[in-house]
Amino acid sequence: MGEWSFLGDFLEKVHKHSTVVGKVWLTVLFIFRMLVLGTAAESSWGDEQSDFMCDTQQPGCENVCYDKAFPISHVRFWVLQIIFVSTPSLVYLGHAMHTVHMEEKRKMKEAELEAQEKKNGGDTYYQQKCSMAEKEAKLSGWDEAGGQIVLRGSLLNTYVYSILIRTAMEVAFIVGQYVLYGIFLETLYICQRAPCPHPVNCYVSRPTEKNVFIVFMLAVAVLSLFLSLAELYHLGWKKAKERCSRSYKASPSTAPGRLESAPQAERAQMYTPPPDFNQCLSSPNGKFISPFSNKMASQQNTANFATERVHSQEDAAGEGPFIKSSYVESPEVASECAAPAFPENYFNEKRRLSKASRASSKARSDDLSV
Amino acid sequence: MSWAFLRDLLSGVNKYSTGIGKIWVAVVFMFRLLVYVAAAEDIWKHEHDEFECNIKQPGCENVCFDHFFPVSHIRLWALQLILVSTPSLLVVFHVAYRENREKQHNQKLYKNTGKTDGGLLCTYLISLILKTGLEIVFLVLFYKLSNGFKIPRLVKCDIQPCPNTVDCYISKPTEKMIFLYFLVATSCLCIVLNLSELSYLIFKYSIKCYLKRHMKKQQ
Repeated sequence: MGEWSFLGDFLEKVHKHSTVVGKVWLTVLFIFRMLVLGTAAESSWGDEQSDFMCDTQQPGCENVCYDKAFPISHVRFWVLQIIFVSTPSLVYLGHAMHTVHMEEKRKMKEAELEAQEKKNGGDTYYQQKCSMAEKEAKLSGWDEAGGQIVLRGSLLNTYVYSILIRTAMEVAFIVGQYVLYGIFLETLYICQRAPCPHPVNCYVSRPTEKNVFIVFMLAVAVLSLFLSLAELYHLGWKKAKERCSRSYKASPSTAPGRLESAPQAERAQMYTPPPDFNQCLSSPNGKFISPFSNKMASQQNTANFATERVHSQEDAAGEGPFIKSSYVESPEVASECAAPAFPENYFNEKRRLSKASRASSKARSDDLSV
Repeated sequence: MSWAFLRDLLSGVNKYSTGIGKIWVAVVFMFRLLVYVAAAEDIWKHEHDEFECNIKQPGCENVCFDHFFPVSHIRLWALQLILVSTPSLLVVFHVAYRENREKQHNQKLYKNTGKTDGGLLCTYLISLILKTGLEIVFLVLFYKLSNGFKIPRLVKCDIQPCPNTVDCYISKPTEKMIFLYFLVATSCLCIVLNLSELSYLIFKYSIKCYLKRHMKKQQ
């Protein structure tokens, strides 16, 4: 079991940057796959070759028959399955860490620039640069207010792709297992291969116990597949809403002096909730400008700000609105990203806070910790 | 002896690596170290006991096994993991040396002890070249040992004290071959990562140097 700590450490970091369904998936992976594999399944398969008996005295016959019956042992197959299914999450983690790192760099550059500009005296150029940088940050999925990773933009894309690849791997391994071994192991395996002189009866060791584990691991794989699909469905909704909010931003509400008002408007928009999907569909124009008027926005802004601050101070069971990753730590530590890591469904939180929201807030499930 | 020691060392190296270097560390952890510890070790665990020859002559099995497996694949794999990770320590030592120097002189000698520039860049490049070289050496060794990355089911052996040419059967040849291919694939991936990191760093710093000279000329 100790060997899985290599992977466990990486996946705990992914845990911090995942949605709720993603956390459930990771928990299932840790407990029902890694733990079970490391403790129970390995000891069940421990004597698989030594107790594989063939009804023959011909030397070498047992070896070749075992090799034919089990080209790759179930346990090794499951190890590869876990590794390949976890790999896309690590790619996403890499991207998340990269986002955090870029943000730190940007902050440092901004601070330097600010110091320089203060020396020189002018600060319009700095403001412009700030606004451009903030636009970039927003697109990459960074929230200015809380210093947190928000799952949107390119980060959301990476997350979605990682889940797609994970789902494909899961399906491939389930199908592969079925093709190699079918579902159940038979007690008796009839083998005809040189140097066995004739078809020989070979008996598999502990077939019933192995079948129990095979069915268990298959069920867990199907459950993981189902969770991945559920997460894709959930993210599909999120993307649709993101597109709605973007298409709303593109609609005419701009004032002259765009460059200066744009960052403020965008900052306001970052704090205001995205419209309900229903709103996007039902009122094609005009009506959904109202939640986004500047007055509403600034009120919402204050409310959100206060709530975020309160939430960030809450402890372990705390419910931040965003998937959190603090960037205030030093660069070396930031890659570990030790922040209170209890993400909540971004959209749910916004709906709860929004005055304009017509829908009732969903009950929040408890976060799972591994 | 646990592999956690190597893991901790490599985590330290991760701090001073480029992006590609971090990917290399992740590949080494996930696809090589983890697969070795969780899967491969068990396959080769009883290879000697399960090696069977079609003869009752005592000692014949021993000499035949020794002839076909002078070094077991799994031991070579472990050596490869250790030796390929070690050049990264050069970078860690150099950074520690820099920090030590700063402490001794009680002043800031370097802009950033962990930044790859100047001497540290040379050390980093040397470590990359060493890593790549060692990977290639081990791939060649594996090729020679397994006669072209093949693990046959049956080998014929006629070494003393075997009285005649004897059939010997290797256990789990298919599974061993699958993991051997896996090892080769991950080695090649690591070589590609090292070479791309090498070319990226050389390109980046030569552009920097060129720009500096260009600026100086303009001034």
